[in-house]
Amino acid sequence: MITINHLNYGYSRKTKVFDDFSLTLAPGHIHGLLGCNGVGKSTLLKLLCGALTPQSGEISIDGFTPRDRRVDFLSNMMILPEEMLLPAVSIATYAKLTAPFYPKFSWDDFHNHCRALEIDEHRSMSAFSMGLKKRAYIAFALACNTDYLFMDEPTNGLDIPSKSILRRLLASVATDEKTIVISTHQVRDIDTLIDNVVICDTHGLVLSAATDALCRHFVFGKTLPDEEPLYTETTPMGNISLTPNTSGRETLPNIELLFNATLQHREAINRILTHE
Amino acid sequence: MNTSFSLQRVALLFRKFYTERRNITLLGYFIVLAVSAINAYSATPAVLDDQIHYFFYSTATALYMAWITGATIATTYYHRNRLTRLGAITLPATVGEKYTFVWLRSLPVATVEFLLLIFFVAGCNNLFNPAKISPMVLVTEILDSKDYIGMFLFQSFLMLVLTYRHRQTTGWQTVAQVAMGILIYMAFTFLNTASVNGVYFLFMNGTICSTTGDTTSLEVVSSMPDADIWANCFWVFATLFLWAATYFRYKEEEAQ
Repeated sequence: MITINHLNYGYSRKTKVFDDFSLTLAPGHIHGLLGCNGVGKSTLLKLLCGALTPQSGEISIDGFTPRDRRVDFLSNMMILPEEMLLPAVSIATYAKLTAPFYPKFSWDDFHNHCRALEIDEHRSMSAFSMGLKKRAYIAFALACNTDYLFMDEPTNGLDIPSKSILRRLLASVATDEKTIVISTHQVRDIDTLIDNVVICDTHGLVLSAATDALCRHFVFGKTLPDEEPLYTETTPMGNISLTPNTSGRETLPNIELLFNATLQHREAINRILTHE
Repeated sequence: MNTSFSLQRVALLFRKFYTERRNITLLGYFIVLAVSAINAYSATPAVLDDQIHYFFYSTATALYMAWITGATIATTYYHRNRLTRLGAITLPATVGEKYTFVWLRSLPVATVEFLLLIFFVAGCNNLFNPAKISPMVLVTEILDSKDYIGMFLFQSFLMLVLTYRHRQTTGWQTVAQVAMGILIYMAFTFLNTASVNGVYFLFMNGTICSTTGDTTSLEVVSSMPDADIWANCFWVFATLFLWAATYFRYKEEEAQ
């Protein structure tokens, strides 16, 4: 369980990234962390993994304070940064050197992930493109089998087949014990994967809701004649809307639509969500 | 996994570092050996006249500066983001283990420097002017090598501060760190100058003249503090510049 209470953080005293920010992320979910540029998504992941120190407030992950960087916490947590610097060795060598730090690392999983992501384990990563490096590191990160996995823009640089493989791999490793937090702008890449949506803006948390609750309370897509949409977007395929679900219709969530709607109608959406 | 301090994890850090950064590490050692050789050779006033001595001394100091500045920048320029991308911050080892690793990593270089200096001083003196070799000369040169050890300690301190504490700082913290760095460097410089000068002028003044009848080395020695002062000023300014560059680069990066 990740609990953030009254977090304050800024890179300078004048500019606050988080001001009295609170959030709870339950285990057993894939959380999608969404927000515009500069709202602090990457900063939040860095705070969660202990790379940054909160100015005040509390972050607790299974009772650990990330900034303490205790070995038993770090060995159960993996962060996939947006850009990684990998040494000029093969991913197999990298795994051999780094895996001893992660007690749950599985070589079988590592080989399987490398195969699925079509990575040559024994080729030096200096010859890899950005996308290949990312795929190689994803294979390693998933094989560490940590309970906490933080991914910053994991689909950036990946080609279309790799995105689909990543979705499949993430779905396969997600268990009741694991908490996966994915920060991304590419919501369409992961909208079928995430089961909890967290939306932030410059003022802090805007929305945190499970996708099944969202589907229960809202209809995504075409609006029926008797429905009154909360938010509408014009697309080449026609208008799509976010509409309060009064008819019990079941639609697939459109996270991008929800995101845009939330930024404009945060109070209305939260009111509908909390009004069971 | 053992969560208290573990030498095994320190060994794993070494294995990881030396395998992943083999080329950079070897290059670093090569540079330090070359610079050490020049520096140590220049520290043999008996075989060099003043001008050549100063030439070597300032060249060596400049090279040394370039190397340490380069190494520090390479390690810390993109310190937090770079270390996050490298996975160094979140690597499951305690802070104590990471500190130990960084300190131990500097130790072989400092040792090599120290031995080279003694070897060159003793060897050159012995080769070119056997009459100069005396236990006091060696003692003095060993004391003099504190400067180099001081530089390494200072460099290690810089790296430690920047890599492990400079990830999230306010302006005042940074100012405090800069001040601390300068104070520590000045303390080492003071110790070095005081001890070398002290030994030379309190205990050895006249000793060399009386044993060898040669005043050349004493004259060179007595003019050494000037060179030291300039070199040290250069160091302090360069250090300030490095700190400022790192700090502003850091702020710029954070603003993005």
